[in-house]
Amino acid sequence: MMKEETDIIDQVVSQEYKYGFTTDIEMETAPKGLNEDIVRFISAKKNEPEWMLEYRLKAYKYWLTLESPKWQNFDYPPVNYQDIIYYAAPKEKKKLSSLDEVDPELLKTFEKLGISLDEQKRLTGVAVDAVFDSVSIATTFKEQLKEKGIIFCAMSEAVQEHPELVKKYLGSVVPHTDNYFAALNAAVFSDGSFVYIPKGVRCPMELSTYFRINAENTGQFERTLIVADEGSYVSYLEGCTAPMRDENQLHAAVVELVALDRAEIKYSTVQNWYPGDKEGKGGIYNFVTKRGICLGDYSKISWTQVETGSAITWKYPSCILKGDYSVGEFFSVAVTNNKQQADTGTKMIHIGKHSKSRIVSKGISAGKSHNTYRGLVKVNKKADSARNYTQCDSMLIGDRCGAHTFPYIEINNKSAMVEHEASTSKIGEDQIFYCNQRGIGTEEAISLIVNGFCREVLNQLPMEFAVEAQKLLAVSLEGSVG
Amino acid sequence: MLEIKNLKAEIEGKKILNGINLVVKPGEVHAIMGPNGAGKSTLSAVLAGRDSYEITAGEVSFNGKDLLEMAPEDRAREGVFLAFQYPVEIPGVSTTNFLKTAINEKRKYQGLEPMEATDFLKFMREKIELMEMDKSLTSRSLNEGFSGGEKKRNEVFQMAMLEPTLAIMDETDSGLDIDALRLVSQGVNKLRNAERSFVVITHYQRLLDYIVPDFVHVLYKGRIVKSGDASLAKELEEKGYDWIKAEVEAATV
Amino acid sequence: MSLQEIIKDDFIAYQQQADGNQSFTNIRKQAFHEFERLGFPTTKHEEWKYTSLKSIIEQPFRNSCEINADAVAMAVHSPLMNIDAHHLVFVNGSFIAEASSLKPLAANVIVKNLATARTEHPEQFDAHFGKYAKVEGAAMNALNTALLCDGAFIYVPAKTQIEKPVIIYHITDSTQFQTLSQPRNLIVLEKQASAQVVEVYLSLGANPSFTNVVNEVYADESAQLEHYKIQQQENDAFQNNFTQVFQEANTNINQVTLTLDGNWTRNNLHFYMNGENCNTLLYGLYLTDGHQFVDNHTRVDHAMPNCYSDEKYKGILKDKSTAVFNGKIMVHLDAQKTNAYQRNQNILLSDEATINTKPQLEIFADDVKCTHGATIGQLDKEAMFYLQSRGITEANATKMLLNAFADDIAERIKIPELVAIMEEKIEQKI
Repeated sequence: MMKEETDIIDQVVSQEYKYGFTTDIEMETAPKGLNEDIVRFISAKKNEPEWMLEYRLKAYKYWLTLESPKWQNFDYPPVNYQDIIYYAAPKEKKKLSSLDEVDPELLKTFEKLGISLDEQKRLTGVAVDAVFDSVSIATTFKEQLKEKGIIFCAMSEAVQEHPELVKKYLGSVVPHTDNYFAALNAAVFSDGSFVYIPKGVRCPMELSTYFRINAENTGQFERTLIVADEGSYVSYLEGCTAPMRDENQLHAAVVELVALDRAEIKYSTVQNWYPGDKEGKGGIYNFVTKRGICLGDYSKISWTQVETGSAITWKYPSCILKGDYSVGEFFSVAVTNNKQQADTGTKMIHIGKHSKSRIVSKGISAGKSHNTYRGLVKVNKKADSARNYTQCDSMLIGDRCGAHTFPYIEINNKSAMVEHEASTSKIGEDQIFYCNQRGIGTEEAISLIVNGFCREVLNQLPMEFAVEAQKLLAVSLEGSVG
Repeated sequence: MLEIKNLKAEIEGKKILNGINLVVKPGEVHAIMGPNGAGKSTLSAVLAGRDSYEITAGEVSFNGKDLLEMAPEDRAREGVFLAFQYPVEIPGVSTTNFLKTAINEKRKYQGLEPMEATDFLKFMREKIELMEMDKSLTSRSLNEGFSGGEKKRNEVFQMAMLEPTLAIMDETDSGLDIDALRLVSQGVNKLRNAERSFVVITHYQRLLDYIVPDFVHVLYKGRIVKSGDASLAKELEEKGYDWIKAEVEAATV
Repeated sequence: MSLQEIIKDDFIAYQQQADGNQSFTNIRKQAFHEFERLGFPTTKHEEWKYTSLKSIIEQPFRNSCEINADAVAMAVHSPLMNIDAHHLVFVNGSFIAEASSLKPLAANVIVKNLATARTEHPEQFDAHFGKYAKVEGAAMNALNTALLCDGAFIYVPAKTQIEKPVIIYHITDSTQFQTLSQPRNLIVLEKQASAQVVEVYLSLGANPSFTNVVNEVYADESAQLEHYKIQQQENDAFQNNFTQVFQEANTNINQVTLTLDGNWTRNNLHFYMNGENCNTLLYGLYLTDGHQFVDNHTRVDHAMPNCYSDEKYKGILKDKSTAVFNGKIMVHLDAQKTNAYQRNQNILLSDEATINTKPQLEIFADDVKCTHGATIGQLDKEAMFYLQSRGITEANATKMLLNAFADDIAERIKIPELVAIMEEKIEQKI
């Protein structure tokens, strides 16, 4: 390795996480630890109906019977679940009736993150639900959306206002029995977004949720549910950041998507939780369960994710392709640097006839990080003429990182056509020199090459997010060639 | 503008260049010919700043600056352009994006503001027309899936875009059929002017039928052993390199 | 009594009649304790996720080295017997000298049964036996090591070549009772040595049989090995076949596994590249029908730089059969300039067949070129139609296309008789 390149790596490695500030605001928190009383406390805080409390308690009791999973391709110190605060919310005097009443400190926080909650200042194309620690702070453009019959609100509000929809779909895709973290989330989830798109409606703007962990020692357990009724369409974006703290913080979200006949849901994530420092101290444990079901015929669910943050990422946004001719897609870029670890991928479960899925995964590892793709493609007996194409590419930057690919393919139907292709490579010295010779410096060259490597995935993102994602990639990796 | 004095370079202890001396003035076209293994490509690589070679002696000044001290990207920004013998593929990066980045990096180096997107596109359109390029090539991934001819034409197109003062062409004719060779040469000829100099490295004389040089140098065993005008290239074409080799061997005995 | 208990009794009995080789006895003792500690693997182990031993270990198998006189008489009827080669025949892991035939060998080449080699060539035996197929954490290897009967020992000294192929026949005889047979082969090639070795697995008798084989291969610098494995056990045959190949620098290994029959087969084929510039080709074909189950687990450890591996496994699945492919390429920290390729391709001929495939890459070095892929599909309908439109019957068209599919594998086999067996089997199965 050239000296200059080593210097650049060091520079990148020492790059500051620019969202690491904290907001000084009066908080109301639950006592540390988890027991039945805490579950009741959260439910009471949200003034929930009895059925919701019962759902939480059932999940909590189930969680008690489970052990935290151990099959993943990384190590992490055990999480002490009694040392976490399960509820933290900015203190509010009364119920807010408009954005003007939101604590200006909070508005400032989101401004600082580049998320303006002021509708006037927003690009008209995006409606935002801002979640701060355990609660939703504000949801923009609600009125305009309401005119079309679209519901876009905080989950806690949906429980009050639209109990029939919540009852019908909550836990229908990710039951509380699904896994350890799904059970935990079902017991203690605080807030999140709820979206319902009525029949035949094409949502006129991007819907977006912005998550921010602020308080110390808290876990964030948001819950998102999106239901797209027959023939509807919605594109949903999710972004997240957290302050720099020395201890690890747990983020165990659950996202459920339901697409009925001919409905389409596009779900994009740009994940930029605090990754910890370069020694691996601190950072978010990002253990989320995301799953969508293509319930209806000709329905489509498309996941796009750009994962650059978190100390540990452990997520597999999945599609259950139940409807005939349904389509599932997964586009992913996962970048790990320093001591970050990511174990991510997808599951495509083909149940409907002629169902199709496509997986494009790009993993980039630098520093001492480990990046794992883990995916399952399963074709059930009755899923005639199912198709899957998987492409899985890894890029290594430096010789102290690792890239791992674990695709599982289970086929029970002869008419299935399944293809998996994967490759691993490094940025070529030739490529860098070629760029250098055209006047492009090594840092910029790497950013260019990495962005090219991820092009197929970045193209899936809505414009505004694509730009942010490209910048993020540049920040995490500029110049780190080996 | 370019002055090479007693340049010596080696790779993994093997001596390749054994004292090159060459002066190139603005607007001149110098052809460097020589048998395989004479050090032709090494010379172009050393001038462009590839780090796999070790410079053991000599100096290279470019417009009064020490070229060997500069990083490869700074040499490019100062106006040195290398047309690669094997242009590199960069998947997912379009030629447009690549050139925009390159031009703006150069402007930054010169203390200029980045070019506006519309200005850039207009500029590129002009050059596409001038070079008679296939427009679709610029939106495809850089060199990926290009034919040999397309790659070389893309090199000359980049040269047109980046407007260097010194263009080094490393065996640009290798692997080209006669039609492609003509197209590439036409492009180069359009870029010739009183300020811009060329160093054309080639094994065969046929390229020099199209790009007529002012000077021809023969490189052998890492040294320029003979210099002349365009007629020297013709002589080499007829007689081959053996007589030169013989001359050199005779002189050293 | 469970199989594990039966095995314990067998081991106690074995210890009372152990021979004088102390180091061998110790290896076996350690292996037995490891087996006791681990027990049989279950589907909870990631490596056995799709492969259950449950139905096997619930059966009353008897670990046996016994030879039945009738079985010996009809020991081998394989077309391979007619090849000009060295033939070594084993029944239930015991050497059958009468059925074997050796051609003259170059000086210092050893081609013998393991039990004889152990006493006659203790130096070569002790230097290599048990050194490659580790028992730690590997229950089935431990079981074999603790209770193995016999098998082939092939030793080729430096700069020497065994000109004719060595064909090792392992026949599991279950005519009298449900037999558990545990053969073991050890192949050692010294520097610049070369050999061609074929392992043939056959069965006799209607009772269920369980064959648990371990093969160890050591290739010292610049050695070359052509290694074929052909599995043709019939009836209710279960087979667990483990092979560890340990390669030093500049070695060339060409390995082909043909799984043509057998009720239940699990193959573990591991390569460890311990020197630079190794070349390893591992190819395989599995044909399954009925309720057959075939699992190929391969692992290639690129531990040193500049090595090349190319893996291709192909499967044709019919009826209610199931196949598993699990290939792992492990590129270690300093194994720069590794080139590793892996492909698994499957054709499903029935709606009830199942394929589970898991091609894995684990990479810890940055300057490497690795690709892997898996495909699952049917015969190309267009091609079928094209052939049929030229007057070729559906059956013949299918045969032609399947033979073409298997052709990549056949190309790697330098013994035409093996290819003939494979092609005949394809025809017979469809």
